[in-house]
Amino acid sequence: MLEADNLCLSFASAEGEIASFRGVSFRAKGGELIGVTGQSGSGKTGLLMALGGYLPYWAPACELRGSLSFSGRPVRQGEPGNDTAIVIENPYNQNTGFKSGVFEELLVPLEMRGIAPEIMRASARCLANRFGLSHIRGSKLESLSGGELQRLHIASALIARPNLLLLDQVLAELDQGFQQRLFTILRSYAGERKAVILLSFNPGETDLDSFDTVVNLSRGVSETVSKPVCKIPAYLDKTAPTPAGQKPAIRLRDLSFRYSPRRPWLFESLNLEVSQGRGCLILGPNGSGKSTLGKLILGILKPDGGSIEVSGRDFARQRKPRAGSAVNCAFQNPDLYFCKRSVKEELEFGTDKELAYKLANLTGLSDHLDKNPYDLPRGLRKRLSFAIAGSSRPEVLYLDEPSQYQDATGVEALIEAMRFLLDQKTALLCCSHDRRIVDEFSDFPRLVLGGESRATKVSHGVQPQEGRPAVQPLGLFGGKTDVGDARAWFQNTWREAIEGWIDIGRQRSRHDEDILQILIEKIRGDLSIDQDCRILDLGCGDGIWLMLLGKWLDENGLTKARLLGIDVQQALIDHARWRSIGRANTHFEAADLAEGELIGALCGKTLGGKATLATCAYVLHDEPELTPMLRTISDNVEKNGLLVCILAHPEWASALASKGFVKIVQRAGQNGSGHWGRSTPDWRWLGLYPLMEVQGRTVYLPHAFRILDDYEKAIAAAGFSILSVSPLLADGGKASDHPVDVTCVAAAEQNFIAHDSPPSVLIIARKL
Amino acid sequence: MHPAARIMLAFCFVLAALNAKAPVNYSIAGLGILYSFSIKSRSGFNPAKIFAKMLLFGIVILFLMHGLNFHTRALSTKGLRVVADGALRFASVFAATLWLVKGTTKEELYALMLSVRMPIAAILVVFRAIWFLPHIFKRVRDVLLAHRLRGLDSSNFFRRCLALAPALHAIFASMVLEICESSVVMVSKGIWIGGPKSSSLQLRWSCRDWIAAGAAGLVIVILLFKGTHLARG
Repeated sequence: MLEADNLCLSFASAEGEIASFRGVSFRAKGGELIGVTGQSGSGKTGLLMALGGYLPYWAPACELRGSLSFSGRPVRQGEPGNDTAIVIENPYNQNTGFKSGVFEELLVPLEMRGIAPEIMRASARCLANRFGLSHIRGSKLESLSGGELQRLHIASALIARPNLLLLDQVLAELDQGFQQRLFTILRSYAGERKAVILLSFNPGETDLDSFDTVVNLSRGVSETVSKPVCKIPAYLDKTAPTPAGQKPAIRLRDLSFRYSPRRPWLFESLNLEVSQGRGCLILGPNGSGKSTLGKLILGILKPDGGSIEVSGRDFARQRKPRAGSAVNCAFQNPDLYFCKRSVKEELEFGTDKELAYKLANLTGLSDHLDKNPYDLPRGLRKRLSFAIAGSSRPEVLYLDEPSQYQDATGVEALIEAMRFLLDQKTALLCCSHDRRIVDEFSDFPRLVLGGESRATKVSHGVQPQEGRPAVQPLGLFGGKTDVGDARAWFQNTWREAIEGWIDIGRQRSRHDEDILQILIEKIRGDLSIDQDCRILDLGCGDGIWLMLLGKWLDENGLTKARLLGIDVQQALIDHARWRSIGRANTHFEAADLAEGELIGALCGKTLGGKATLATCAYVLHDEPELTPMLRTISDNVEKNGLLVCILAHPEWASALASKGFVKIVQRAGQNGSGHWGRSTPDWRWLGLYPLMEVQGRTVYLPHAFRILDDYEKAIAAAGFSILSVSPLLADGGKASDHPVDVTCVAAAEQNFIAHDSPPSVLIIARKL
Repeated sequence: MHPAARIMLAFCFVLAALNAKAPVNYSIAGLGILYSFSIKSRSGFNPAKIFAKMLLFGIVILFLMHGLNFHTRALSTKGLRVVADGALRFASVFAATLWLVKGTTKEELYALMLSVRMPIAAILVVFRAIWFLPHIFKRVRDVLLAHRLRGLDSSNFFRRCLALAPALHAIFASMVLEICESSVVMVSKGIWIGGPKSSSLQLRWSCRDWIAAGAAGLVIVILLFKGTHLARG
């Protein structure tokens, strides 16, 4: 139990004592998630520091009054408990300094507690998967983006299993997808551990529904909010046209960049045009390259290919960013800017004074002109850096997360200032994952960077066509902005891939040519696909058809053809289940692989590049898990010419499309459930219809899991071998022996849903 | 390679480069420099350029001090030998340091310090001290970039120095903030929790390490027994 009674925090200053907050009282029980909100400077950080006992480390010249206790013991300032952990808002200041790797940094709290390496590694692996860090666990800390770093620090705080976890404005660095996931993780952790978790955030930054109690510090005193006061709608990424006939202020042409030749492309053939007085939103999850794009545009990094033109001049070739440049940037870290003693001096230094004061007024800085910039709260420092950058009258202004650390008033002020700059004919490139900014500038084109786009080809700037899904244009390959060009380009590429795949391991023959032709015709005809592409199957049935196609390929003498069907679920991180596969295949140790790597390995590496077809029924829940999987699959697709069919919920359409899945076949409700004579009560089961013709009858494979012996026989009869079988049902698959019919299938499905115990793992593959 | 073996080899190299007779010592130092510059850095910090600049700067200063005879307005042969000798000493130490910095990760260094039972507070201080310069270089670079965009001219070395003057305030103010936040986080991670600490990296002596350390140790003992070049004056 955490109890705070009449807490008051004040700081000593030259002008006397300044109160940060006063009269804060609340109680929190174990298992509760408490929100702390309030405008910039209202004392959110101070409150969290006080609750943890960290005040003397954070701000020695402050005084806390009131009583504070946790688990029945008073909280002493300067003596934080061993079961308390805090994550602060700035991710760059939280590295311990004696670790350079991601995985190693994650383990520091356990090392400080003297935990044995084997135990800590097991804990860390599981946590890294939950936080979507698996794909970067071998990376250096320097290479991580702010969001990735913040994820790491939250995971690192959780790894020591604290009973009191304090998260100070951590949402500012996290993308929307991960924010939702974080709440799920925190809820689950708090419930399981009976821990108290406090998360501070700016008003409007997240939904108050997410918390059990919200402490509002807005007016210097606290009030407990029991009802949500705002709802923020979700949004979908989309593109919007740039008005014709205007001169582009900035144009990116086929821009390509990667950090080193050994690392995958971060951008490849990136195209974008923004005209004067217009803006562009740059969206994408943590690590997608938003800040890197800013560095490229500023000239800090040099592109590997393509050009950056500012008002028709090639800007990418300039030596270094310089003053009075056509491009300026408001960096993510505002503290880099200040060199004067007061806000007023800062505004008058090296800028257009009139414009600087105008921007300062708009951003609510006029009341703070005589203060030292470093005495301002972080939100105001950020606004000041914006005013400084904007007042240099650049043709293009790159704003890196402008709304970070801002309360609702701050965001409104920034939006007004941005509108003002647009009126001044400045082109704005605004990189943000703040819904308030995105909603406000919904008329801007949106450049959606593809999450783990480090391994994918991303092409943007395509105009949406009326009446077509907004996600449709995002997946075009090769930087082609015309659908016809892209189709032709991809058709050749895909054919080459298939041909390459046929060639693997043996001499090409006429027979193979025939099979290739048949395969292409089959895919075109039976699936009604009018272009050659990788297929994203959002509905039902096609995936199974492809599984059968794989079997057909095998029966028709294409000996290298292998078939793999995977239903990915949380059990993928249950390494014990995968060890059998690891032993069966010497190519990799499954236990050491993250989910995405595992699937990628299964698709490509495990089958030694022999796999020709893979269907992945993907039912994981969010972007952080989705992106590494797609990255790895995409790698293997590139390497092995693999045809991949992913069965996924439609909500992933935009994410998948941006990963290069050109064709989206949405068949749910048409061919899927209707074809198999069953309904689909829960979207998670879309695509999970492994009905196969085995021994002359239709077998529902998930059901067959319940009768393992029969299942093995059925699979063997179908020409497959089982590498691993995991029980689908909560009863371990042993309880019943229902006859195989659709009634039973529907009942089983209802059972899954009722028990909320989704299928674990289904792998059907031929032994190597 | 075990970091302790690597440290012994580096020490052995420095002694060998300084102790052997010219031109053998020049060859040893030259090869050491070439090797240490060519290996890929395993840590996030690559000081090769900085070391090269410092070495060059040192050579120029030594040349001005000893290589020129200002009275006769000619080059001094003896002075040039002194320059070469001084440069060799710089170079061998730089090469050894570079090899250690490039080849040793933070994790290895931490595990090594822990294995010799160094207190965690001392480890923290060592790390902060070692990485202070790279850290401040990075901070200076970031601040200079921001200030350049604000209008401060930093197109050459001297202008950069001038531009740094107002930037120093920003650099140190932001570092004070960082120190405060960092100390909170370190306490939160459990740095003051009593009891033994552990390391996720387990250092083990391999056969190669034993051979390397043995050979290096032997050379060091011989060189010390013979008396080093420095000791002989």
